[in-house]
Amino acid sequence: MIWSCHEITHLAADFLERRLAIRRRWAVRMHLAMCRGCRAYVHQLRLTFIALRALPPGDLVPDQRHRLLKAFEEHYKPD
Amino acid sequence: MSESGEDSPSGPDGKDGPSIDDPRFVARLRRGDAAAFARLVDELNGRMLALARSFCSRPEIAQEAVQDTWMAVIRGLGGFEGRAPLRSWIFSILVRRARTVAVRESRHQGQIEIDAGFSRGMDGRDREPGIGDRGRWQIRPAPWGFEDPEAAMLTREALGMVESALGRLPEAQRAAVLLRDVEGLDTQEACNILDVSETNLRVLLFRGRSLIRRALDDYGRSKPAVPGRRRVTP
Repeated sequence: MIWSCHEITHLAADFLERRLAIRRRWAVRMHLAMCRGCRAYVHQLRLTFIALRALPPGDLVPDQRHRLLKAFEEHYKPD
Repeated sequence: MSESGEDSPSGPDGKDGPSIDDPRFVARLRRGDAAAFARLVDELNGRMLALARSFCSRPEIAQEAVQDTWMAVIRGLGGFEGRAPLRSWIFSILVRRARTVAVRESRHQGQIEIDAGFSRGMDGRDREPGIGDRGRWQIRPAPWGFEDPEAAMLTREALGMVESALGRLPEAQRAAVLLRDVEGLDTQEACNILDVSETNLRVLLFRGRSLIRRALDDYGRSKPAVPGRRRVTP
């Protein structure tokens, strides 16, 4: 099974997430061993995943946070 | 990504205690533990707002959907059965609310339908720039020159670039990347929340990830090349 670079770009995410069946996985590895462009591509996609996973959660307006916590406490307040 | 097992909900506790998807964390919430709820809000509110913005063009409408969702979460926690991870449950409430307020808003403005590209013709034939007609690279991706590539991805500069690229993605792609890659939900959960087929999700992710990789490309190429083997396996 020989994959083109185009196909490798479509399989790259599943490859990195270990979602490919073993034969496909090996076919991708064989391609990567021979293709500098795809090696760079897959490496960069792996780094892109690392950055996406590390994005900070973002800030919350203190006032809004306070209101949410108050609503929670009131809901669970013992009667 | 959750399939690799590294984010298993019942995995080792982080510095703040169990993950928010851990049943023990959910139990704390259901007991009315305010500190647990505060952590949930801190971890998810910003992401929820970003996701809501994928459906609602106006920030205040997105904010309203997030606020409604939190109220529904507070009321619904007692009945939450834990069949899906907590964050998956919360995001599915959010997407329903965001769609509802977006439809209401668009009617109000005289528009008819909102489809942020979730079901537009998608055939998976997208081609990365640089790939030629015969399916091979005509212009190969240039290697990035970081000395420590993983650490470089965690710098404020790189994360800022990723964040702004994410903000520029078309709505449906942004929603898919947020759920799958930023939040780490699995494919099935993301499909259920967004109500798209696995094929559509694949295409949205392919396009979204491609644009984000390219946003990082200028940054990566601006660094002097470092010789050596690049790790491609996970």
